[in-house]
Amino acid sequence: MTTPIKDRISATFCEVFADQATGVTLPVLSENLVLLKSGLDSMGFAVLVIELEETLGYDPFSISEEAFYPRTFGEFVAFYEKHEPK
Amino acid sequence: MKNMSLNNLIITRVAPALDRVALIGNNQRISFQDLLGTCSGLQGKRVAVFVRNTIDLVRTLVALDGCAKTICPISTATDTKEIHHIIAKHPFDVVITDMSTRPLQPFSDLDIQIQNLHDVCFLDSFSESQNNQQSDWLVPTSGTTSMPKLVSHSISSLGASSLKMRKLTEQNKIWAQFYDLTRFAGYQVLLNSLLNGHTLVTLPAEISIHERVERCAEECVTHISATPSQWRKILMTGEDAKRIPLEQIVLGGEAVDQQILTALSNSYPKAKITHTYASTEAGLGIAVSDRLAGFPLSFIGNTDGSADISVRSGKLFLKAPSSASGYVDGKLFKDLEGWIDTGDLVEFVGDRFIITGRESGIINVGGDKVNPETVRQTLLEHPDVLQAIVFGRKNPITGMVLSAKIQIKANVDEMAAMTSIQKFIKESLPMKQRPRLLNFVDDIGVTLTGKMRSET
Repeated sequence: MTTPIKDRISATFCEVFADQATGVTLPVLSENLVLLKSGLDSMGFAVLVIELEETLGYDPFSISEEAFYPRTFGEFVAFYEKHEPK
Repeated sequence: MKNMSLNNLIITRVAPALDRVALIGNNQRISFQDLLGTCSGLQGKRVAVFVRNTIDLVRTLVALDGCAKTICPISTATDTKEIHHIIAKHPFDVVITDMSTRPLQPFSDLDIQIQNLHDVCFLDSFSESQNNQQSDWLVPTSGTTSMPKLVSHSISSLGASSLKMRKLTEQNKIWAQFYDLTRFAGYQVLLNSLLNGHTLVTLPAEISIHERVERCAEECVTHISATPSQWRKILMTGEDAKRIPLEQIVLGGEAVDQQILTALSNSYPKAKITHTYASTEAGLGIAVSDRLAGFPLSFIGNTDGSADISVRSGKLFLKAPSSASGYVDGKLFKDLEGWIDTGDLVEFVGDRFIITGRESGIINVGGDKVNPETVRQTLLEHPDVLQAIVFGRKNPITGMVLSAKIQIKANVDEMAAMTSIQKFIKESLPMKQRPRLLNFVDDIGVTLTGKMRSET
């Protein structure tokens, strides 16, 4: 299932991936894709979160009271959907 | 116990459990007994140690302590420029290594004798008469300026917190290695396990976080010391991380936020969680285990802890028994009363004080200290760059991401400039100093004082 947020996260992921993970093939962005096995390193994720804050206008990791570090792409998207400012 | 060699300290403190496993490598288990020994022909020498294999590295260090005049382990991950800088600071006689020719060029350039690890004559037994030297341990800082400094320690200052524990525990604890052992935080892990009869699971830097976590679970690791950035990665492995039977969690090397402390508390409710403030110069300065970010105000002026703490003009000063004697080039970093100006800025929040950054503007990126000015100067060398500012941008995954705003010259194609600058960065800067977030701006803001605006 695609949602507007998921589409925008996927698009940003692809852009950041192209910049940060040179020489690595872009993985299929499935729900079960393990983030730290995707080819993007933790610094790449940090860049992704910053870019998404510009694109979506919020950073769920900062606004959430939950201390959560997502494992999969599905969990990552769900965390953004859950904390979307109403 | 003050001037004992590592050999003697292990014998004294770990007996009668010398048959315990001291180190676990890939398909290798080494007992404390196996680690004991010395090496011939290196008495009184000034020795650099450039050994990749962790178990061989530890064996070499145990053999050298009390025998060599100075011991300077250098990480094999260090780039050539930094190696040059480090070894030029001290007149080394010999380097012991398991590396091949190319990375050894800096040593050859300075006519330092290269001795292959496999040609070093290790003796299983050692005679105290040959090992009565108090070896000076030279520890490179993580590069608070553009290049590392060499700090002069002894085993008693490096191992001050490890030596505090007096009694050998019946059950050995199992540590896992998340730091390079040649860094100050790495020595803490190594000496805590070696001097207290605990086992250390060695983990090569090149293996992925998932493999690391899996190895920790398989080996039933109970103790891990790592930076907050590394802990976030550990937690990103989800249920796998929860399989590690952790009893003690240590965080250090960079700012510890409440989120990571809460997340660790949730994942490991029974573990003791300690966050620390330490530096290569001051040693272990502050440690607290109350699961709250920052440090209690009551620590300031209190002399009961491991270090005396004072805040002067918004800066942290420490007087620590585990502090080093000085830099190897003789420069001092303590005042006459023994206080060390850490250069770290302090802010008071309620009944806590937190470290907010460095006075020098140095940015801590995942435990590595980066000088933004050095990076900026490099960016300015690119022919398309007119102006640049380099700054740390906060984020929840790594604490800080190194970022740059660049104003390119007029009439330069943006797309082509971006590709060219990205390539230039990869070629000119070591990994930890590369800005990961690049933005082109039309104008770099200039403040009224004429300085370029930086942001965090």
